[in-house]
Amino acid sequence: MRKNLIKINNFKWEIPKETNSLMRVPGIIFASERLISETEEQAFTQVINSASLPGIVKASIAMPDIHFGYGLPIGGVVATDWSNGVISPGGVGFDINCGVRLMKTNLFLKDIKGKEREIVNSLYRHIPTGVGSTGSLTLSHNELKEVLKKGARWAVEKGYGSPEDLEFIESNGSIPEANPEKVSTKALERGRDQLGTLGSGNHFLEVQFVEEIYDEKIAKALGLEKNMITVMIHTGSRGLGHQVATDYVAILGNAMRKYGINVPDKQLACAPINSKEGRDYFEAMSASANFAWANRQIIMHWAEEAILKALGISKSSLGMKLIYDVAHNIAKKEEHIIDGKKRIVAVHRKGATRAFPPGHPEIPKKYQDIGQPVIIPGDMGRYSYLLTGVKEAMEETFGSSCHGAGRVLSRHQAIKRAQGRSIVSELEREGILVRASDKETVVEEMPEAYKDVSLVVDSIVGASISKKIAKMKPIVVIKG
Amino acid sequence: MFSVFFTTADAGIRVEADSLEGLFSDSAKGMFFLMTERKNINLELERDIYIESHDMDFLLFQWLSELLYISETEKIIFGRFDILEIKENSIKAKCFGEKLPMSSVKRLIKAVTLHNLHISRHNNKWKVEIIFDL
Repeated sequence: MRKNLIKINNFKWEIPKETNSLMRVPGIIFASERLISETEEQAFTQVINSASLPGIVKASIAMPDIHFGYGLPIGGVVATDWSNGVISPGGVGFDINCGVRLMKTNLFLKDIKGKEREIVNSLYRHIPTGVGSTGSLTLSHNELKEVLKKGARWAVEKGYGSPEDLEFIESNGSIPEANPEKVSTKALERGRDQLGTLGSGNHFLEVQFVEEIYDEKIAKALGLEKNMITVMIHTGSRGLGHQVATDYVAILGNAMRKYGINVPDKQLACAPINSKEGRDYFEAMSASANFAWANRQIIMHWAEEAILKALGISKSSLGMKLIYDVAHNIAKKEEHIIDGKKRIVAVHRKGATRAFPPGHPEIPKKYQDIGQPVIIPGDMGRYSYLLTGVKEAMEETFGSSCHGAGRVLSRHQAIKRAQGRSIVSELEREGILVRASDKETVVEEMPEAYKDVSLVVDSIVGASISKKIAKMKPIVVIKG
Repeated sequence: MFSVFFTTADAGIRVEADSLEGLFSDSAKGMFFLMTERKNINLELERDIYIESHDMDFLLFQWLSELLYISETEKIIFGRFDILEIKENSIKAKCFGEKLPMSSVKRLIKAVTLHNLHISRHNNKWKVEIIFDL
């Protein structure tokens, strides 16, 4: 498939529609030549497969962090027409509303020097992590349905964080179409003791400092300064979202026959958005997204408590404030201009982040002049980035950007590479303290298992899809 | 018989068996091996499972997904699967395993995927490849 790629410019590649008879639109990949050369062949096949979804508009798009996933590639963006297109759980992924939030504080590097160990231990005590982690919250099904309906607002009403936080969350932390009645009892069972848990794998909580600022004006508007302490959370909808996705892959897989839909990969099982099955999935997926926003809201609150305890300072001295929270596995109902006309589409972002430009009505008032913050986590040994949305992204990618580094080594290769080494000690020598429930997780997630995220960011900036604002370096990491 | 393989982001198993019953049983064994890296599991608990689906590939997907669900909510790791009846679109089985705190599970499987999942039969051998979302 790589041989079918046509270079449009240094950061844009096309897979022509004629490559495969099932393609309804071309494939477009935004990446540097180097990232294209490092991408697995199967990821290009997944771009082609995604181009076959009925009702797809403009192109099957992939971000610079494209890699082999299931259904859509990771880093895939597909928009389908809301009135005659389909919706696909394989275009969202199993971890619905897996996402990232970034907070700033009033502290600087010098303020926490020598106190890193207290911070990491306190965070680890306050926030449940690891495989099958369960929280101190166990909810009845009725309470859980409230969470699914209200999202982050539920958490704020229960005292986690403040009402002002809601403005700084994508969709204000609550998709109104969420319908808890479309979420199965099994999904509720899996979610009832997982609210406020980080989970395992690539999920993390990091305390970082701003190492570099690229755009002083925008950084200032966001309240960021060099050496300032920031906190980043990466987690999603846990078992509840996994079960919703599993349930609806089967339901939509069965419905495809009824609607006469054929897709080249069963993982792209889909149904018309306007069918009962399609609507039910959208409403259940939205409810799961709300769960994930409540989850990150609660974890943010506990992180604040943990840091306050570790440092013995007042809440106002810490001054933790939410900069933004974005989803990177989601399908959203959005209005976009396509061929000069306004159209409502379902934008599937799988391993891709919404990145709306300055002036967009869906971003906070405070950010109207600077654009929506886009949070790009890297690996735990190097750095993460903060970008902002620009208008070109609306024209090229349905207002979407990249989402992270992307793995370069499989978990097995990482374990082999780490033999005889202590990754935790290596990171400590670099000034990064890591605590995890399992040593193997740290090994599987070690920095060299990931691409250098700066290559991804340079590609997205090179393609004029986002603006680079700041780089943050980890100091303290807790992992599942 | 199953073997584990790793993709860049996830992991999977290749399964080969002499019968369809063997294929479904070994797929489940492979999944729990990927989670625990244990081959010997105590068979002190049992659960009955019945699944219906619209085709055999989806049946395998739903069978493994059901086992994952029970495993996560009841904290059970399964090690033996007696397939009592299997048809094109349904499976009835008795599954045996032990209670295991999820904290001792090595690798969380978020979900079973359908990517490239296609049951085939050549020379009386049943084969399938399953990728899991980790």
